Amino acid sequence: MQINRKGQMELSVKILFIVFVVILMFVVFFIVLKSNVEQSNKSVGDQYTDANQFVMGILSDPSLVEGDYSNTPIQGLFVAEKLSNQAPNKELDNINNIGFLYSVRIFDEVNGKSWTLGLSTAPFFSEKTISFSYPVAIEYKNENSKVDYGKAVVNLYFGEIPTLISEIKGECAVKRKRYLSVNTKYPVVYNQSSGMVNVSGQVFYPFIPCSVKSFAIPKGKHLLLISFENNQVIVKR
Amino acid sequence: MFLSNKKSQSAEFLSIIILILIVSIFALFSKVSLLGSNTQQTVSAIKTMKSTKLSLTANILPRITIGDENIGQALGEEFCYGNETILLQSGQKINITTELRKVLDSIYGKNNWMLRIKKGKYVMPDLYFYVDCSGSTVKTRQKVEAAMAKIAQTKHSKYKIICIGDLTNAVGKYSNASDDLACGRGDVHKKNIETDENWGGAVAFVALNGIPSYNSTTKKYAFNGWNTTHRYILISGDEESCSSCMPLNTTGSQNSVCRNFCLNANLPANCPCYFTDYYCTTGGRWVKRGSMIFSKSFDIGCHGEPGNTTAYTDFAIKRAKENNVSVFFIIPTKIYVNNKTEWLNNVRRLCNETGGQVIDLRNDSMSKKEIVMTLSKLLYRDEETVYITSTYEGPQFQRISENLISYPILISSPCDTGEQENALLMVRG
Repeated sequence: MQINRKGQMELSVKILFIVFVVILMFVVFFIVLKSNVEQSNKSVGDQYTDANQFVMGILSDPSLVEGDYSNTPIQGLFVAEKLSNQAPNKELDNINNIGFLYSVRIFDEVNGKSWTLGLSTAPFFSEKTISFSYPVAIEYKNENSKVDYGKAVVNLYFGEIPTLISEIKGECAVKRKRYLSVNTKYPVVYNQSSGMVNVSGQVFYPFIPCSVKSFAIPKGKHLLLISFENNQVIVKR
Repeated sequence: MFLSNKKSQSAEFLSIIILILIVSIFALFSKVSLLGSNTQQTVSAIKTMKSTKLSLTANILPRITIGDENIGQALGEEFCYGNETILLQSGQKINITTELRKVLDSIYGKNNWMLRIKKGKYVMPDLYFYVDCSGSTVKTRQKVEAAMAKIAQTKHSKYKIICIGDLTNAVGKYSNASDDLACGRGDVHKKNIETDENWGGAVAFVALNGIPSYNSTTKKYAFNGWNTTHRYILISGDEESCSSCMPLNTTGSQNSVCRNFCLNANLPANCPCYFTDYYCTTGGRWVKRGSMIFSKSFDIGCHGEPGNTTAYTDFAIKRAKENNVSVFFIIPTKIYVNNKTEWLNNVRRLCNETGGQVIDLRNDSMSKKEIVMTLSKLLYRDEETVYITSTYEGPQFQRISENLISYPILISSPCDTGEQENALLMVRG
């Protein structure tokens, strides 16, 4: 009878111990889960840091603002004629946008004119968008160098496809064979001759600093091989 | 055996619990530190964005054009001259503050910003005109007084005519008028002079002691120093410094020589007889020729003994320069001096070397309007700090706003103030 009681007690202690371990496992699991969320938070910080660098590049780009490569460009003072010379739906040359696509809309608040740099329309495939605006001025050389005030509305688009394009851009500099796992919800086609990317019908022209061989990636999960051969980037499934 | 088994089981449980606890605490600690650094990175990136926006505003704001000017030029003119409007070629006037509100409201939204600027304004100092109040200067005083009254009316200043003779018992902060106005400079005469004519000494005294205030009880002027860096003296005299109308050694019957002169001339013993070392030529100059005796009827043109204006002028220039005082000398309608060329040279030297100006009223050469215009040069530039906001008054905005971030805007100054103005843009952080 005493042995039975002892046995019951042992059983109870074991059950309590198991419950305790399970609770602790939950705690650990919760911490790991939170770490993942933090991972996402970390990238928010990075995204804003990248956004700052990107905007500083746009606001001081001699192909857009007053000044040239020999003189110090005047930050934020866009020249209307230079803005009008930019090709539509095309990313700007020499502007570093690693990890995202972008569209920058410059509004003249005085006469209502506007210009768009980068993507003409917001990409439907964007998974996350960061938007902000900066004050700018627009100079009209042809109108006695009149300067109007305005604003630049900056939209940065993040997601699987912007990441893929950034990886290809990066390969131009890295020139190293590597694998990239992608899981795209939309087919992506790149045309080498036009430099155009087509994502389920939405087209745009990213700035890629080297030649890239045409490729097509159907929607779904793929392991891509990205390499640099014969002075061009090759993307294979 | 059973007991030993039980003990080892308990130890195992305990060690597993401790292990799990350590792992959990470590995971929790690393998570918290990661959370902290990530949040810090995000906050810092957002802060950078805000300050970029502010610096951009400061960079572009002065370049935005309104009509033919840009905001930077307009603010510069407001800083220098107090102009608040820009005149377009079409004749339309544009208010700078209204334009600034439009631009900054569009960037930051209503009531989220404040711009601190310095605005220039021109101030007319109170006019104190020091002059000898003898009968010979009546016309001059009337003309200058009329001009000063006009200036006082339009420029909101005060004016006062102060007789140099009334300064003799004035008390200065740094020296007494009785010392500074005392005659004795040079070697001509040391007695029997009228300090009322000592404009050189008056300049020297005022230059050192500043602005006068009159005490009606003691009936004395007190000079308590300058209260501004803009310092000037407005003075006039129609004779040599320290000359007198007649240098009386003695007169009439009180002097034996004079008495004899009068008796010899069959005149009463107390006839207006003057005894002096000098005599007045028909050309109006005093010439030294031993002791002379003559009646007042000989006084045909000379109003002063040959004083030593140069010595008093040197003294006045020295004091004025030491105290950064400009002297404006009003040459009266008529002057009574021994050597006109020398006297005029001294007056011009006094004005030129102190950065002042000669205002020549001889032969009624200047109209009241011209005197007003010339005296208006005494206007000096001052500045005040102005706060521009959407609607609030500046200090109120500061009281209700926390975490204000600010950035300077460099304004080029078109005026010759030798300084560059920084406007300050403040926005809610």
